[in-house]
Amino acid sequence: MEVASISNKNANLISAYVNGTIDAKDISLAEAAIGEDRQLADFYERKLKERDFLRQLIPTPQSTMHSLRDLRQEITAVNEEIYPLKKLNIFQRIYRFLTKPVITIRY
Amino acid sequence: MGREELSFIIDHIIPKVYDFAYVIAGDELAAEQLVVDAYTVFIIENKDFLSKEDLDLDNKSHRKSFQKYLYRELVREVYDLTLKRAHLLSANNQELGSEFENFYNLSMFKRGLLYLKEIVGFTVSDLQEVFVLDRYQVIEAFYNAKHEVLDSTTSSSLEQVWK
Repeated sequence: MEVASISNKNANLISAYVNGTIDAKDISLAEAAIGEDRQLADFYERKLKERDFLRQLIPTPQSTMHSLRDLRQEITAVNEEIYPLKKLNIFQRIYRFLTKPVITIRY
Repeated sequence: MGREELSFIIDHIIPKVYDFAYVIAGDELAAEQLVVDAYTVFIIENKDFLSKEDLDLDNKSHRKSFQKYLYRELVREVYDLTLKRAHLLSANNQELGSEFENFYNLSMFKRGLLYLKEIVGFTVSDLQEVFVLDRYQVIEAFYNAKHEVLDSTTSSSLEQVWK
């Protein structure tokens, strides 16, 4: 495939389009360029394949049932210890605000 | 939001947060600890806000956007903790197999960035929030990470891909 004749500007535009780093205002420009120019369409295909190849090089871990069960137990313990059981009503919130010190002096 | 509502939402998010932690920490136990600690820090910092929030869980779009917000915040906390524990975690990385060697040769930041961008599907603005960077810095780091991984693969495998 001949890619040498594609200008840098177009190559960057197509790369940004494939990578999702393109500015929203340039999307239609990139799509038009791919649709109208055969060479750019080939370059676009090549970039898509490169992206798929890159994705294969990134691990996609699948949490095991065992690790997830342990994790969920720990998260539940954190919630029970720190998070209030029910949503605070307005009086509870005022009470908490009034009983909380405004400043704390550390010695 | 009460505890039950929060538990219901967080139950769906935790596996994904764990996967992110595993990708950057490269170790199951370290990833588990990172998630629990990040969650604890997040809840301590945000419990007043969260307990005040009214969330209509029956509304699918509300629920989805709130889940996305929680996921992004937890990922940010995990990443912050990873930076603080970098000296401990880098030792774990050496035990990783060779299947994703090129990926694990990247810095933790670039690993996290590539994973969130390519596998999770984060946008550049999502990544800006997670890593507290400008748009151009995220894009630059993404391209650098991508080239580091691709350049370290054999050129023949890339040629094969382009055929």
